[in-house]
Amino acid sequence: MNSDGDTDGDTDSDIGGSGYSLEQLADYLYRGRTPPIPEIDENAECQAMLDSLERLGTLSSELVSKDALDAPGVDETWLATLLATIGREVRAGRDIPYAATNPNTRLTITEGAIRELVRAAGDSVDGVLVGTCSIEGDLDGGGDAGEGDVAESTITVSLTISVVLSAPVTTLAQAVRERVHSELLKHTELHVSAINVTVVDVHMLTTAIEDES
Amino acid sequence: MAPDVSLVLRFVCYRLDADSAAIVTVATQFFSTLIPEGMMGALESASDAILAARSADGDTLAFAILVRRHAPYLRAFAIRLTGSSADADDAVQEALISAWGALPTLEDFSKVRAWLLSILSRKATDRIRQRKPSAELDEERAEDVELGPEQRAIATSRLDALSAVLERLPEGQKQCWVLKEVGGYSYEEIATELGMTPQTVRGKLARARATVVREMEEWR
Amino acid sequence: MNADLNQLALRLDAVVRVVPGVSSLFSAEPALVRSARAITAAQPVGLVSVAAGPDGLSIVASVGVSAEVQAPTTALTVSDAIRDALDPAVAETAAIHVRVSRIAD
Repeated sequence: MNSDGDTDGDTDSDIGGSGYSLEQLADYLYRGRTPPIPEIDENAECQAMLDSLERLGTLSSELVSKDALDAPGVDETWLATLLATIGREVRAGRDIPYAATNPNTRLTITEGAIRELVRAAGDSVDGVLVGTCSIEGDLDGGGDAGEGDVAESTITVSLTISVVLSAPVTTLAQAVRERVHSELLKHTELHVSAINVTVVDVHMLTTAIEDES
Repeated sequence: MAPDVSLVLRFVCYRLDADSAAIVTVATQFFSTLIPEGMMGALESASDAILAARSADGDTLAFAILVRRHAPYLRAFAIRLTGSSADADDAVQEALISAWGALPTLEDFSKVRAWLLSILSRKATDRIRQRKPSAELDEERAEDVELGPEQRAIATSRLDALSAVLERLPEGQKQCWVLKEVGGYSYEEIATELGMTPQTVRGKLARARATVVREMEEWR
Repeated sequence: MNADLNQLALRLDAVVRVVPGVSSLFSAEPALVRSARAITAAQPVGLVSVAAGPDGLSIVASVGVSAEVQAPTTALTVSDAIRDALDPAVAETAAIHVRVSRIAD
């Protein structure tokens, strides 16, 4: 290793006679080395220092990644407690009415329950994983629950899905549409005008393939 | 497509092995949401974007997989940042709970990891500030660090050497370094997080950088 | 909720749980409200919420239902079961809200 003595303790002021300090070099690096500064770009010591700074940054990230790899896996008790905590805050959303004949009776389903239903219906298609699910439209149906004459609400369901390419995408999307529609017909009184399915991702069952024995 | 039953079964057994009634309860609760076989395998290999989207819609199973995937890195980051595994654990826990609440507001689900890291940085720096309200002043005295030869000799790899150097940095410098180099934050962002002026952050980073560069010289 | 109403809530919990198609029973109140109440109450706190208003009782039940049965049907069965379990004197005026919070087996 070649240490020429004069960079020692003196790195702050001037690197390789370029007139730039270590701090200025670091700023240059953080800016993505733009706009180009010829005095730095053409100076071998500056270039070595920039590479070194860059490596130390990368190395710092690697250090954290290595810590993570070396650490024992996620503590299951901790995870269970965490999930129990968040599970208490349910994303119920709005109450969507069902028709009821007794004026003193109000029957509803939560938006959260419908989303879960839609998600499960989409997931049930082989090779499909649902991402987001949103329900738009007049969920209250304009009808006053309890009056016994809830008007049919017209809604649009939009889903994003991730697929394993086991069948043509359009076939998968159509299957999702049909399953979602039939579940909504069974468990809600909403009138579904459209089910939009957007394929956002193609995913691989990598772990599954490795596990096959 | 053959459903990946083996993976599901393996996962169930794994959870039931752990001898805690609480875990079994939670696990059972989860598996009641389990849709067909293969679902677990599909979810476990799903992208961050899909898992985050589902979590935003209230899918706790997807959130569990997301947590399992990123918690080790988050925890490692927090330990490096706070220098305390107890503080790190608390910060990670708080960050994940508040992330669950805020997920519906996340705009780009594919960036969930960086987003989690930024929430964690805030929670961790909150702890740092609570821990030592006036330590910053005291710290200015011993800002420069030099490792003795025995400390240098211990390191057997570049990573070990860097680890030793970072451990020896004054806390404020180390925090700035970790937030800058690992978190990728700007001077201004770090200043806000740590309750310092950008000028102070700049100074601390300059000193940290000088030390790290000097101490890591032989590992170039 | 006073002790009598809580007693009724606990009784209704049991009624709702055995309704065909009901797979789980959740707290009708937000978790925070419920835990605050559980701290002050000397006995278990019902999951069904029961409140007395000027026009009669107001009852809310939040249920998880089986996917096997149509959810609106189960919701109606639950509301009927609750009404049947009340004293005839209060049953007529009681406002009953059944909320399906989850569809899963």
